[in-house]
Formats: sequence, C-alpha cells, structure tokens
Amino acid sequence: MSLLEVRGLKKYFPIKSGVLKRTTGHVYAVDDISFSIDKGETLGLVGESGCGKSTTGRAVLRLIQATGGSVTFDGTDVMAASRGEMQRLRRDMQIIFQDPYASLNPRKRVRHIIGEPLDIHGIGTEAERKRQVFELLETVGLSAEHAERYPHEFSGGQRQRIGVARALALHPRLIICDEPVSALDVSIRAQIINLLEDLQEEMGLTYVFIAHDLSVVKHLSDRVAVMYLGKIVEISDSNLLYDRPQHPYTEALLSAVPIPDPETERSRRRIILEGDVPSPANPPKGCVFHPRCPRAQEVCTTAMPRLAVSGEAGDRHEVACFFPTRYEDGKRTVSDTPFEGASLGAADAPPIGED
Amino acid sequence: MRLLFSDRLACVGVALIVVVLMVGLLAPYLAPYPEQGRGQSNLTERFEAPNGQHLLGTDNYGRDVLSRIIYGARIPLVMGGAVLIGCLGVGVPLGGVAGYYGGRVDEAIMRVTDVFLAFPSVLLAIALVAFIGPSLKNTAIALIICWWPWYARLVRGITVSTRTRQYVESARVSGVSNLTVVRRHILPATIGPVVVSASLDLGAVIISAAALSFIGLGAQPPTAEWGLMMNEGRPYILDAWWIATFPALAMFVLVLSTNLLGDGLRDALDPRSIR
Repeated sequence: MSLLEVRGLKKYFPIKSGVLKRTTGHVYAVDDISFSIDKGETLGLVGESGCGKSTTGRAVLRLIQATGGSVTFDGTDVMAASRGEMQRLRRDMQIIFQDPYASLNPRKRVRHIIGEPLDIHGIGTEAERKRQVFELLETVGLSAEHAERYPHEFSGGQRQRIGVARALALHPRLIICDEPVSALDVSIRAQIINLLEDLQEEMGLTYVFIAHDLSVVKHLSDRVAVMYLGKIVEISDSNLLYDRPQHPYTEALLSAVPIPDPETERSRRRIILEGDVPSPANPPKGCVFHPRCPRAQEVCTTAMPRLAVSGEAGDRHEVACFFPTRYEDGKRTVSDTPFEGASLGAADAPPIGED
Repeated sequence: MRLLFSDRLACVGVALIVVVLMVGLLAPYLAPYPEQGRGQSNLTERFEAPNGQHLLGTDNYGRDVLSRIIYGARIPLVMGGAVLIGCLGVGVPLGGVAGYYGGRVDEAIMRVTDVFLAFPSVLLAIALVAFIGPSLKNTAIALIICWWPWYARLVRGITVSTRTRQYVESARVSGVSNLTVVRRHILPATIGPVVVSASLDLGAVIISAAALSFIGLGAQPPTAEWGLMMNEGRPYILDAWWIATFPALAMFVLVLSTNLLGDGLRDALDPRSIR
C-alpha cells in the first residue's frame, strides 16, 4: 500500500477586494490533483514558479487548510485528523524549506532549533535530548560543537543541514523537500542532495521533492509529476518521463535543459513556448495549457483532459492530454484524433469555481 | 548587556539616568533647602540671581531653584516608566492577538487604534485630562490612552511578519501549539523592537507629561515639577531667566540621555550582533 495518497486535492485562495473584503474570485493554486507515493520512494514535483508545487506540499502537511480533496497518510485521513491524531502525524511528516535563511529562528541556538520537536513531543530527558541533537548534527555532517551557535554563524549549506537535522529529529517517515537546494550554491547543492540520498537509504525515508530544476529531480526521483497551473499534466516513473515525455508541456520543459555534451547540445531541439503562464485566478477554459500548446485543437478549448495511461497498458505513466506523444517501435508520433482516455469522466468533473 | 556598555554614548545615557534617579531618591539629603523643594515659600529672597547661597537663584516665591530641580527629578522617570508600562500592558497583548489571529479581530483592534492615532496625541491628552481633572495620576492615564496604539501597531506588525516566517511554519509542522509558537517564536521577536521603541519614547513621554504640567494640566503647585517650574518662570523670563532656564536644561539632559540609551539598546538588541 502506498504511504501517502492524495486524492483530488484542491486549494483555492480567495481574492478579496473592496472595503467589505468580499470574495470576488479565487486563485486556483492547486486544482484537483491526485498522486500516491510508496514507502521509500521519491516523488519529484516539478513545474514553473507559481504552478502550485509548494502549496501542494503545505496542504499535504495541513500547514494550510485545503479547499477540498483527501490526503491519506499510512491509512490515516490527514484532513480529518483530530488534534491528538495530528500530533502523532506530525512525527511522521516533516518539511525542509527552500530558504535556509528564513527557516531557522535567528534568535535560537542550533541546539534549541533542532531540539524543539523533541521537546514538544516530550521525547527523552533533557540529557537524552541533548545527546540526540549531537547525533543529529553528526548525521547531517556537522559536529556537536556547532550546537551552541546561532544560525547566522553558518553558511547557506550548513544552515540547510541544520534544517535537515531538525526535520529528522522526530524520525519521520515522509519528508517534503520544498526546493531544498534552489537557494544554494551549485557546489553546495550536490552535497545536500547526496546527504538527502544517503539519509533515504539509511532510514528508509520517503520524499516528496519539490523543485524546478529538472536535472536534480531526475537524479533523485523514482517518480515525477509535472505540474502546470495547479494541475498535474503528466506523472510517470522518472526514466520513462525523461526518455519518453508524452505531454507537450513536459517536452518543452525537457527541451530547455542543456545537455553537457557539445555535440548533442548543438543538435538539441528546443521547444519555445509562446506567451506567459496564464493567471491562476483566471485559468483558461478547457485544457489549462491550450493557449500555449502547439498541438491544441478545438477539443482542448472545451474540456480539461484527465490523467490517463496513453502508452502501453500497464505503464505507470499517465498524461492529461488529448494529443499525447506516442512512441511506437521507437518512433515518436502524435495522433490526430483525440485520445479517448483523456476525456473519460471529464463531464463529471465539477465546474471550476465551485467550492 | 555587555554590548550595550561597549557603546560609550549609551553608557553616558545610562549614567545620566542613574544620576537623575539617585538625585530624585536622595532629594531630601541633596537639596540645600529641602522644605523649599517641597514648596515652602521664602518671600524675603525673591528673584535672587544665582549666587553662592542659591547656586541657581531663587524664584518668584523666593524658593531655591536648585532644590526644586532636585525634588523635581523624582517625577519624570517615574511618570515615563508608569506610562510606558501601561502602554505595553495594553498594546502588546492587543497587537499580538490582532497579528496572530488576523481576520475580524485584527480589523476591529486596528480600526480602534486608527481612531486614536487620528487625533493629535497631545490634544487628546489635554482633552482627557481636562475631562478627568488635572493631576499627575490623571496625566499618566491620559498619556497611556494616547500612546498604547503605537505599541499595538508595532507588535501587530512584527507578529504578522513573524507568523508567516518559515521557522514558525516548521515549528508548527513539528506540532508546536499556537500558544507555544507565540511564546517561543513570536514574542521574543517583538521584545527587541518594543524595548527600543519604548526607550526612545521615554523621552517623548517625559516631554509630553511636562508639557501638560506646563499648561497647568499636570502637576499642581506647589509641586516641584520641571514643566510646571518652566511655566512659573515664564512671566519673568526677561528679568529672572534662571527660573525657567534651569529646569529646561535639566529636562534637556534627561531626555537626551534617554535617547542615547534608546539608540544604544537598538544596536545591542539586533540579533545579528549577539556573539
């Protein structure tokens, strides 16, 4: 059974205007997304800024209240969890933030930052907690003598290690990594990524890895979900997605990644998307990607395609597109007739804008 | 603390404040003419210019100005302290609640502060004192009523900005309750700015209190209060300049030293300077 199961998750932020603060519209930050992660797996969540990746992470942890949908962690319904249940769940689900400068309280010593979760959950005695903090520091490649220092005395990479140590303090099973390396120097990035990988191996951790850097995600993830404007447009096993992208948006994203080989790089075919990402407050009707899609046809403007397996049956590769790329005998083809799987049930989908 | 004292100007400020406090406490022993400091008049020695007997001269009732300044040192710091403690007592909790919970509570509290801040504060204080009757205690009450909204706003602003910080979110992810989040992560963030703001306001409060006394709405004669003394000396400023000038100088020195202390505190409480 999967460790984390997300079904139809929605988060709409109300837009309020006027003196009376009436709700005049919604930002559809996350609009009906579903995915599941098995224990020990890493799910990469990629997409441009503002596509709802971080909001998804926060909603899963109930840092923000989701508008709809369900999140099930190891059989427990996170959305409906009572205070006590939530407190137990908190031990199992943690988060590592993007900005190691904002995520550590500048007024607290490292010992208190890492020890706070232990303290709150009343784990061990004072002395045991202190020892655990030292162990955690060593686990993340720092040393016990760092415990008495303040965050500003550390470099970005070291701070991120402290953030990792804090996330590990309660021995969680799931860690949501919200762009943990995008604020770091390229040279430091690899260190943190390797640290995360090692920890996963040692502790059997499950990660949701949110990033906009496709190569980092490819390196780490078992499965990858591509998000666009609050929706998952393609989700698949990592190597399948990178080798055989089916959604035109995924293809465009992948084509933008430089290849570290001058020969191939020169022949790299780049797909340049026209226009900007539409505002999530006013998403396009039909497929959210259609205004920028080179393949868009009439059907795309009327209905949002649903995630479905379009390639070989049994593939763990789903795409939300009426005209997905197919790979037959190694040849790349795009059908002219709309893919039926994508429209199934589209009529039952609730109209956008309803809470 | 050590940092505060490594700042020379702040040291000067603290030293002067301590001096004023000590002078106020020891007034009966320091004042050359204690009973005149308390208000007894001495009509035979009116308007004497500063001389060996009366170092700072005498006033229109023949009272020794130095003695009265020494007795007057008791009032401003106590007044300032009481007003600020009152403001913090009202402003910090209200600002914290408004900032942390947001929404309607926030709106309600902030609109109330807007109403208060829309009045010129000294005018509002005058109106309040005129309404509840002039006395030192009522001056303090009026000033608290005029001043607390600044602290409510300050604390609300810091709370709002701290609440959405990632370190607060990560505390919540670890299961830290609301109350503990406020106590551990939000209130400590407000202490620095609040203390600095309070110490910088101390001078302004002292001046406002003296101003109310100056126009007859604070301390009542024959109390030795610097603002009141300035007013009593005002009609004679051309002939007997010492009566109003020396209390004003005392005021100036005290307010300057509170400002030096405030500046020093601001530098010392910056978390980046903690070693």
